[in-house]
Amino acid sequence: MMLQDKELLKDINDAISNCMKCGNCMEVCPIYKELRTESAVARGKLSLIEAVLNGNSEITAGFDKRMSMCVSCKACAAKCPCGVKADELIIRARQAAVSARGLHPIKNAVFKILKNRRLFDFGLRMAGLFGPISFKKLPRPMATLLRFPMPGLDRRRVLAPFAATPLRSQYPEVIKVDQPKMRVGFFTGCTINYIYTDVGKAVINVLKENNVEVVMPPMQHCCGIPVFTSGDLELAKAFARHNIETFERYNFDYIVASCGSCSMAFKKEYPEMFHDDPEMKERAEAIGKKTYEISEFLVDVVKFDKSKLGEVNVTVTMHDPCHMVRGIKVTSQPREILQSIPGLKFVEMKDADRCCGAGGSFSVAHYDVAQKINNRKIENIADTKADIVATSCGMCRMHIIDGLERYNLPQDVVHVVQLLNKSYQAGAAKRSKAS
Amino acid sequence: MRQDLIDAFSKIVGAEHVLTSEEKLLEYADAATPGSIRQPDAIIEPADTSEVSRVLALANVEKIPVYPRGCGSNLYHTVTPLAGGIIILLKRMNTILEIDTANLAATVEPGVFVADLNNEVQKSGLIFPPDPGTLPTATIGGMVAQNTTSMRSLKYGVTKHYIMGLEIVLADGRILKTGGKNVKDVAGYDLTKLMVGSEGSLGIFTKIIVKLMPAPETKKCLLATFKNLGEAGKAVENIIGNKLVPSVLELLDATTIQALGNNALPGLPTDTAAVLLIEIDGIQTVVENDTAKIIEILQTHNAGHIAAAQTEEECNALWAARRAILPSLAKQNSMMWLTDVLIPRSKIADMASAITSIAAKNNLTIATFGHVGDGALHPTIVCNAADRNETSRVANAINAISALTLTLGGKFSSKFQKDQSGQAETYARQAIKQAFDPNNILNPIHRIKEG
Repeated sequence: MMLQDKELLKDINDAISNCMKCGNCMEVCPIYKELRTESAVARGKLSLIEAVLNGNSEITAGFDKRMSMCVSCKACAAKCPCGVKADELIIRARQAAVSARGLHPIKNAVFKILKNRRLFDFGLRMAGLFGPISFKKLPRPMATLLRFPMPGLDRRRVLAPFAATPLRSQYPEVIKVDQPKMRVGFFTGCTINYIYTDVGKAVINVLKENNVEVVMPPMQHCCGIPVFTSGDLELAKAFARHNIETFERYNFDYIVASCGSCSMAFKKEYPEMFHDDPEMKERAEAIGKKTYEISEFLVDVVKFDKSKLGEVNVTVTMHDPCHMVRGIKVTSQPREILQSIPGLKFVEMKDADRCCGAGGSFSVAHYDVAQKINNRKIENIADTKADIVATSCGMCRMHIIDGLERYNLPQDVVHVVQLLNKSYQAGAAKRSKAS
Repeated sequence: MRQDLIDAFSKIVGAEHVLTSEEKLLEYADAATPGSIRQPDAIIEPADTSEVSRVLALANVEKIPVYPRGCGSNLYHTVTPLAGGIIILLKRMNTILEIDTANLAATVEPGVFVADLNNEVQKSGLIFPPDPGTLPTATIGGMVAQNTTSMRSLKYGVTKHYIMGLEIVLADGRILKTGGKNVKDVAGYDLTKLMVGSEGSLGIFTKIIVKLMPAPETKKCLLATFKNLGEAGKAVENIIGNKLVPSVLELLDATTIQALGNNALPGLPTDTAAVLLIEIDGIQTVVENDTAKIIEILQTHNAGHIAAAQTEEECNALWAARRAILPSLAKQNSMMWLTDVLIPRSKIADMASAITSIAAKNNLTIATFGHVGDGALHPTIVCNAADRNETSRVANAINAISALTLTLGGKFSSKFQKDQSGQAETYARQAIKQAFDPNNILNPIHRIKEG
């Protein structure tokens, strides 16, 4: 048993030995800040992995539990003076744990559905149709509470309603414009297709305003990040392969996603997942090179049209999702977009790039810790006196709304591109009034 | 650990604060010290002084070794439970109890992060100067236990100069209070000073009264390069000799600069053999005058390239490079030995050059850097732990550095250190230890070295 566990982690032996246990990760780890225990922070987790590698321990249930205590915010890796990518090593340890002990039963059940694209689509459409029965709407937009207990979900948690009609069913596959200057494939991702369709609509409108033809391949599926970070590498690779093949069939000029994690999957994780498969790696890299997060795309590639923007008189602060700031390193572009909107007052919050505590399924599995991390974010938001929080990730949006609701604060949370869309609409309204 | 003991400790601190799972024990088996790994038998997380007292009373009766631990960032294995026993984790005692601006003092619990204290006192225009700067999560309790120095020790002194009073739980659970907020606050034996630097071997701190200072109005940072170590050493000697006291005066030798790589300190001339990093703080006009004088001295000693950081960011980049030294060295090979050399400032150049030849003679990588302003150098050796031949050369080099330090009138310490204390000192230390901890339960193995 022990020997076998050791084998499962052998390939990261060198990477682990680079950790000098200095504990610099303790400064930035959001979970350590709340729990102050070695198992919360990268150093303690790497010690445990090291113990398995040295044959002093096995991949136990306690090992699984500790490795799950990570939001994958990459703050430790960004801070580490030795360049140890602890977030990636922890995901590798989760993979070893899945090989040694199997997936957590709830995750296993969820992934079984997720694996089957049609079943997943059907399930979430049903959730949208029957949502009002199981969810109670709150006064603020895009916020609901569970009416009944559900396995694995805290009933105090504010969730977002599932869309009655998914985004991709609301539009034709190809959204034409008169004189397209380019043709892009829109990878919607699950949260935007099934929940935050308002973001998807904003992406489509903004691209139309800039004469970009948008195509939403109907066969696209979950990007695989939730599965990948849970340690199910084989399933993640199956998703990656499916999405690569799907987008290869079209000859897109570019691929656009409007979620930091989905963008990171295409740009970084897919090529790395196939590190030992040169042919797939090359294909993944080709797709990755074409992929942009929407703010990055509008600023760096499209050079979006600022002449048509109208006034949006609000004060906005911005939360940088972990996968945006440390995953794909896109932070200046969303700010440039916000600051180009006439009438919009932009204020930075303290620690804008600190994790909000969402961490995908982390906030579901560890709601109490996720709340504590979130409290710091909410207090920083409150200090800015902003009306709106802009961000670029559906999970962050849901989690921050949950925190604002708990604090009884009125701010709304939206995607950066929604504010830009609002500005284009205001510009159009003004022009039609004038004519 | 025996179940009845676990139950007894659980009764004191609550079962959820007595950690005994295999994974937990492994996580606390080491800290930032190479080579020392040993699992504790349990980790206990007391909430207050009374719980610490009851835990120690029981440990003392049962003769269980005890190791207090803050965040485990120290480099001298004093938190590794080398004789087994229990770790007392002070993370729950993390409240800043009072900031007394009228008396320039703060009262804190031992688990408070030094960065959190500094952020708090900054709001009142104050600083807690001995912040080690290397790690914001270092705890105040750990700083007191180690008598930590900081990069700013030249001007501001070390931790012992900032500890005004302590509450300490003794080995048998009795609670001792020393000092206070008054500037003198002691007659007879100064027990506060005795406790600072006691490395968890005389008692466990449960409250700490620290002295605060007004924050400097402004600061300036300089970088200067030299073609040889001698010139850098002479420049240091002359800066201090001219009655200039920078807050920071750090030396980096060529091996250290190489380890940092080109990105940490960009734009250095390729023939750089030494770099000085200097910070001058205080009142605007004084800072400007002193900076001009220091630049003049640097030029007299043929500094090749002198750069003054223009912005706060540029300044921070210099200190980030300084902080990156140890990690950059650690990355180079599987093992790193950090040593401490304390030497009169006038001998810095001789010492640093001699270390370069010791490295060459033993075919080793030895990086030398340190707070030269206060005569502290850290010759640090990186080697392959699996290579027996190399580790024996490391031992030779350490002995050579140690001997040289003593010849030059300095003090040396490392994990390999031979006892340098004379007979009388050993006697005094043993007597103190015996008086405070007759059953030798407080951080036992570590102190045996001293005794």
